[in-house]
Amino acid sequence: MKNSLKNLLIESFKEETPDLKENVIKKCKNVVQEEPLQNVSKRAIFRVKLYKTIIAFSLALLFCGGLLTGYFAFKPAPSQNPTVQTYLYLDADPSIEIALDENNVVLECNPLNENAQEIVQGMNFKGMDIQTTVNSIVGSMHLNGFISSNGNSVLVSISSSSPKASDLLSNVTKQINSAVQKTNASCSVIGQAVPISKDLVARANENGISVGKMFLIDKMAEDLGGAEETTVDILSDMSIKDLNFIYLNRPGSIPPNGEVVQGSLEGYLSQEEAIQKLLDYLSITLQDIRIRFVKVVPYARNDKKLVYLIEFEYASEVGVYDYEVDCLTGEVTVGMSASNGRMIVQ
Amino acid sequence: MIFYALTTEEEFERSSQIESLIKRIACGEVDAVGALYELVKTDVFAYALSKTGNKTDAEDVMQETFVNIYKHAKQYQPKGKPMAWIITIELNLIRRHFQLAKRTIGIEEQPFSPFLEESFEQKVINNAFISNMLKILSDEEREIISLHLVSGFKHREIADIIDKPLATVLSKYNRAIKKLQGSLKEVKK
Repeated sequence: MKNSLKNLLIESFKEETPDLKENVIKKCKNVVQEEPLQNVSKRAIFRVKLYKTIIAFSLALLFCGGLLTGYFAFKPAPSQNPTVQTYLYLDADPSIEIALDENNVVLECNPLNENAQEIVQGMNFKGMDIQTTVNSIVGSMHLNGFISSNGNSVLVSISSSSPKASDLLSNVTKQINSAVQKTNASCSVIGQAVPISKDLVARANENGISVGKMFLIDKMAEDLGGAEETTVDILSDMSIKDLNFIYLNRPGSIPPNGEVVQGSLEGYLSQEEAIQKLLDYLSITLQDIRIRFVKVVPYARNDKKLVYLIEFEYASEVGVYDYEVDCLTGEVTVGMSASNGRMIVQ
Repeated sequence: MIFYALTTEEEFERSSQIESLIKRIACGEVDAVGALYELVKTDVFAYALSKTGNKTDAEDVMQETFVNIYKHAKQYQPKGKPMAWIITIELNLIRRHFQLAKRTIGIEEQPFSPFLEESFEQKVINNAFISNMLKILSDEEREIISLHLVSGFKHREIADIIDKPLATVLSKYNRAIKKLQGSLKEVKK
């Protein structure tokens, strides 16, 4: 039965099988035969494998080398603050140090005193641009009363190796001015470029103040008669408002002819006003005297007061007199004869 | 017993002929392809038809199988089983054929077009027995029947070719035979 089925099946398939021989031969003539695999010797196969392995190993080495090169090329140099290009110091009693990279992006923001800690509390400026950071800090200073209608001052100091440092200083100063104006507070903004100096940084750290404030004090100490330790100590305790006031009224700002130079700040008496207070106190007029100089003296009596020291001589008599006028109240506190040192008012 | 002995001898003779033709083909003799075609065409076509289920595809597969035999003849390693090598080539082509068909169907899902319908030529199987076989047997049953009854492969060899357990091959073969015998009886009636 199976054989008959088999024969039937084979015969049936034979009947159906098409005759495609000519087509097949025609197609084969256009086909290129593939070479036998056995013709490839074991040695050749081994050689190919060896070459492949060497190439793969070399590529792997190259890849690893590239990775390592990339890693070391972009790895920050092992220094303390490797990418800091600029230090920006904001002083308005709160003292804040901001480290910036070459794109003026904040790397660090450090409060340098207790008031500064209040200002930046809960804020993370890392990675932010300098404009946003300054706006936030100025806003916080205003909210905490450090920029208000009593005429405080903000000192902006920049210590940078960037050739565009002066642009940054100008921009930040303008920005703070603009921000202060929006708050309707009266506040003056002082900008200064600070040289990069390890000694300056060391002395700022020693006195517990910012590098910017230290530099300002150094300049003032020179103007006030030498950077003596006592002077620096006194100035270090002073607010930026007071320092700014002293700076604007530094001796160099008074021309030799004795004319008074405007250097007032809100809340303080101007030099003119102080002189008028003295004239009123002595019941004389400006024509009766010749002013030799007017200068602001900080904490002259160790009482944390700023006074105008006004030295003058009477037109009608021989003798030089020094009077101290409180910069805030206009009270004449001390008067003495510069000629013989005799106290007139105490 | 005599029948089986003869069958084995015939098979041996046939295998030797196929191998010598493949050797000639390996030497680039295109005429040997024609001789091989005459010798194994029914085996190749039967297997192609049993796998594809339609004559058009079976013819395509058949042609490609002989072209590929010519192409790879130099790579053939004589082991006394040249038909197994040929069927393996054919099976690979059929698999590729189905893969391509699957992709083509996926891409060409187009609306009905009478022009397409007219241009499509479907070759009809004239033989009633084969036509009936294609209807009543499953894909695997057809494949096993074709390989065993037409090409003369042993069940164990078929199990290796189609990658199925021997028991499965045997049971499917027996079931297929019963179906075919039943069908044959009905035809005779």
